Amino acid sequence: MGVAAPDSDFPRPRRMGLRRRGGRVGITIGASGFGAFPMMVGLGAAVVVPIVILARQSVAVNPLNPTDSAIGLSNYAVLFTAPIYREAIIRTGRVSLVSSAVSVAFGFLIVLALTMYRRREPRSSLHVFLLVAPLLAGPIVTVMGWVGLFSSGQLGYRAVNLARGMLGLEIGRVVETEVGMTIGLIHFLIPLVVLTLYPIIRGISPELLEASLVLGEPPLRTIGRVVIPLCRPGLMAASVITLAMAASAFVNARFLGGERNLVLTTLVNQQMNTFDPTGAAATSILLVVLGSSLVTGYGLLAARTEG
Amino acid sequence: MGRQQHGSDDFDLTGWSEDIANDIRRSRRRVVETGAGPSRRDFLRSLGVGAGTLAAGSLLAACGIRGSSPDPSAEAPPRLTDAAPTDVPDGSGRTLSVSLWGGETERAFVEAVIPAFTALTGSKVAFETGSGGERFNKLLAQKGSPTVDVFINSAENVYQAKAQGLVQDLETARVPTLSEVGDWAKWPYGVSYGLLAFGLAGVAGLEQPVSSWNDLWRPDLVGKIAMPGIGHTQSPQVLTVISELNGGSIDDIEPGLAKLAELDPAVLHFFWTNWAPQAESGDVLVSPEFNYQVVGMGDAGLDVSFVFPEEKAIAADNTMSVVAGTGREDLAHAFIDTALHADVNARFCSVWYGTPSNENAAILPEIEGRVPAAVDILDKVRFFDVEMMAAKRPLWTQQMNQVVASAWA
Repeated sequence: MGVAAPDSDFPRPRRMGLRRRGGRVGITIGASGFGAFPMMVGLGAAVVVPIVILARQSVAVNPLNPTDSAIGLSNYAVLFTAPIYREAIIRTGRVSLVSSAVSVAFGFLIVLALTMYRRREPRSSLHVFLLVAPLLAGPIVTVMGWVGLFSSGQLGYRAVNLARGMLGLEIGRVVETEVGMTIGLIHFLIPLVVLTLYPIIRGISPELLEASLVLGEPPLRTIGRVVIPLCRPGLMAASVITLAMAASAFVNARFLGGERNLVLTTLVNQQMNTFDPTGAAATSILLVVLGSSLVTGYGLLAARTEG
Repeated sequence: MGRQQHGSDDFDLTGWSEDIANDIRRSRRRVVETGAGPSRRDFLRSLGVGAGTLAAGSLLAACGIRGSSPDPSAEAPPRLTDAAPTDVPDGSGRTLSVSLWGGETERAFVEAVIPAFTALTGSKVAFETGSGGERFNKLLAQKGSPTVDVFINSAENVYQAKAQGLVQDLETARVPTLSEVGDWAKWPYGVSYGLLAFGLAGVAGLEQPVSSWNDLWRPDLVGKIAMPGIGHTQSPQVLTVISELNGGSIDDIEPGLAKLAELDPAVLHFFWTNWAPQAESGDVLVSPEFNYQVVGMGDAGLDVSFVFPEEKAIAADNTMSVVAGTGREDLAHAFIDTALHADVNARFCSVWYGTPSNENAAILPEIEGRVPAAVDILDKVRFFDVEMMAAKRPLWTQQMNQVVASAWA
């Protein structure tokens, strides 16, 4: 007697490429006959055109300050040579990676618990709703909430400083710090992870998990050797989404990080408001390159580990 | 926290706005009448007199009697005050678009300027709100095809707009109330509706009140101050003042940068609400702030008072200008003229809490003692060259990021 093999719950790989019909090889374009080409062209233009405009502006003379000698690639040179701006670039990468990793990890555990709970209690949609509520409230509301919680003497302030004390770190301000900025970002990203992973993990057959447990695997190894491989595509997607959103987050960086912890988004805002549009254009291009590099690099790494 | 409402419940805006509109029309008639050249009625009257004289002269000549012509030295007949339509533009069916800040500024325009302007011209008004920098950059991006007609922003931003050809010079003939505005508020390309002072705000209960910019470094205030953000509109001015107090100058800001880096601010702010919670909890005791925002903090229940530093506060004025290339220049000028009317300016400032720029505008009873008149503060504030500040801002911001923000982190 063996375990019944799963059917529709088990994702099957799709065959891509040419399809053979009656001995002839043809390419299936699509029912419309046009396929996705027009849409790709439109989307490409919507993405490429603004980037090209920004790139041109980034190497031009600052029209608001013609005496400024910065021209050509000098706006980029400033970003990499000035320590404060170099720190902003590094901070952007650091905050993005940490918040993405933590939100994916916590989000995965939350979805796992929610899935197991939901199998016993079907009417648990309310829990999912509460979990994604920060998304519905929007970044402004959640960030303002954190500003209040992180104010001196408030719950968030005391919790963070308790942790700092336990780690032997200096206690003090939480608003306008990298820690506060990262916590606020994680809080906003977790719902995205939940929304991405929930349908995938729900699709994993419970019999697989039961089989693993019955065969002697402890729960943690079951999660590591059964659940995670099955939802790897979802984890990759969640990671990419959270990485991109973390790198481009502005409201969180503006109010919880402040000007004492510049990241590329707040630096763009500051440059735009201080008559430096060419500098802002260069920073924007750098943000696009950095975000794309992070996402692409992560995707390559994930593909390599999967292969 | 709440704000006290002004205006709409205190008087009948309909009657007030009609009175203002009629006053503006009368004043424009006086401008037309005292201007160069006769009116149309006078021209027609002259034609009639001339034709009658010619006919009479011919008749009398035929009768052998010399006719009489009008005595050029005789006094001109009195002009009627209910004469032909003035140059108030007809805004019926048209909408004027105004770029300005939201919050108190928008509310002041809605409560004081819009009713009078609408009664005067019949035009509707649409607002485009946002921060000063955002709206300036939007106007810059729309150069040649603007979507707004009136651009209201800081004096520095409006200067930059003029330098970029985004706004035009004011046609003074279309803004007769300019003659009532203080010289400090007037530029060829714009005019300010009020004066603000950027000085020191201190919470009640300070053992030793603040009186100088140097007090920010007092030992009892270490870690208990808020500072304007690096990108704040007044940051270059503050840097200049601190540099001068420490042996530097506007051309040598190194002493100012080093001195600012010594501070340990509890919070960096762009608006009073950024540091109001800390003021309430006692984490912030002093901050550089605008006087009009301190009045607003009082309305919100915070016991904070404004101080003009002995080295003078920093003058800040918000400027109205007409966007270049707009098809509604006539309405735009009329809007600015309306906003500068003495009664409108007074009502506006009673909501906005700034000092009126019209020298005939009264400080209304509801703000008396809380908002100063220009004559009372002009010697307590320092005006900075907007062209110089605009030129130095990008580099100084970078230097403040490098030296000051990194020390404050």
